[in-house]
Amino acid sequence: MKIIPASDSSLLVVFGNAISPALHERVIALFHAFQAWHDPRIRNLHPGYASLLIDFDPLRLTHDELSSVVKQLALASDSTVDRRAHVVTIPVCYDLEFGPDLLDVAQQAGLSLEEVVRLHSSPTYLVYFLGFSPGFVYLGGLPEVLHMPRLATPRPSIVGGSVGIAGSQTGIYPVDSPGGWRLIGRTPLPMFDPQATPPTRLQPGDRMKFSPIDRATFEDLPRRAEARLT
Amino acid sequence: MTIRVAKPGFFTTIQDLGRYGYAHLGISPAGAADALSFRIANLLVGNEENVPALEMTLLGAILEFEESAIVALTGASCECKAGFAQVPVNAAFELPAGTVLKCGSMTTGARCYLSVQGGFDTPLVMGSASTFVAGHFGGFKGRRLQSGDVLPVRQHGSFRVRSLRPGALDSWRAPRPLRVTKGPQQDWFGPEAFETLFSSAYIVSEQSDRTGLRLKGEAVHPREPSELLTDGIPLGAIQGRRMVSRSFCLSISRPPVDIPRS
Repeated sequence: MKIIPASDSSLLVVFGNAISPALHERVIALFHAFQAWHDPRIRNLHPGYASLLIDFDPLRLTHDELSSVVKQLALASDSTVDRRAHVVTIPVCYDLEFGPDLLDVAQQAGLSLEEVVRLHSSPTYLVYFLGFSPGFVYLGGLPEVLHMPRLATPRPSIVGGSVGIAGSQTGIYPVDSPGGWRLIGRTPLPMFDPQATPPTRLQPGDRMKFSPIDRATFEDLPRRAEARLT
Repeated sequence: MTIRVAKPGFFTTIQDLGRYGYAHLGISPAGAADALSFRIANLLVGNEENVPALEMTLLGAILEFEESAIVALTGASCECKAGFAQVPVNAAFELPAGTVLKCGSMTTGARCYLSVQGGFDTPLVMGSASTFVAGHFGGFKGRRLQSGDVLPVRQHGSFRVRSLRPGALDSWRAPRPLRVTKGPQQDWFGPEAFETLFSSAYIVSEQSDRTGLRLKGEAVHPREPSELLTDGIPLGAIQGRRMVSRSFCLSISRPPVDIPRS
């Protein structure tokens, strides 16, 4: 574990330089320890693949003080995370209308559409962290045959709920935004609701699965699901 | 009381000092880009410093006051008129009922703040009134202001108003080097890269917004190209870039400065 000043008001705690569930478990353990510590002098916590950025109020806390807190919490928080704690299922309709790049992805991977859907919806993914936009998850666990470069020209607007692939990543656009991921489907469930507690359906460290649904279920689900994320 | 937006200007939003504690869900703080000017605007009209106020960018708004109000303008220099009369900056003043306040183009700086005594009465989302435009929430309907918007203002009992001593901000506003600290990837850059960074002047390009400033000038190159695993990025981070346009990025920083409360 390395503790590096990242700015005049933040520390970066680095556990390694690889994308691995084991390293990430230490990130999440420290993240949870800081959440439980609940100190108003800490302004924001940003988990990454193998690091935690801690943004603090420099008028009330110094780098050195925070550094010793990090060391204490890192010692105390080892192996306290239950890896199977939370598996969230996200229903996805892999319809060609919602997945305009689905045919393209199947062709490049040398697979049938059914195989792409089966491969994408079979793993249990790890939510490494959220970033880029509210509720946007960085997931690990995409089968290698589905790894694919992002689009050469990003789309100016993508409908919230769209599910895409870029490089070794798969994820869900939570709100309408521009983006360059290859779109293969869409979830009818809101991934982000600013009025809900918590405001996002997924949290860093969660496990999640995609579950294929047909068009009729896609149309019906939002009516049956509660407006809130809970 | 309400204030009607006749014209919104280039990019006008409701902000406060930001929304903290949600970065792990992908929710950035938003908030006033120039927090110092924002706080001064509120203190001048007798508000608490974190009360919602307007942030105007490059071209100000035209606002109609149906009732009298006490307001203050701070931040970028901006020609503002109430009817035909010039209005002061860095001082609270009263606008009579029926006034049209016309904020023009900004001549020095990019962002100007308008506070009103009592503050704009917009709901708190995750503890803050700041507009997060990309997330479509916060502030007034989660978006920049449009013509015809009617902004609610909270009633306020106090009439204690203040003004800044002339020249009080001169040293703050004078051109001077930005102070920087070395970042977590400093080892990626050799001494010549820092020599370049610390001896060059950079110009803020038009491709800048509330998320980041793109600077034009001498590029800063790492020793060798390497792949960086995604980490959180602190506010104020400078990113070196290998780009044809020889530019690099710097996101705006909020210096930890306290306002003397005399």
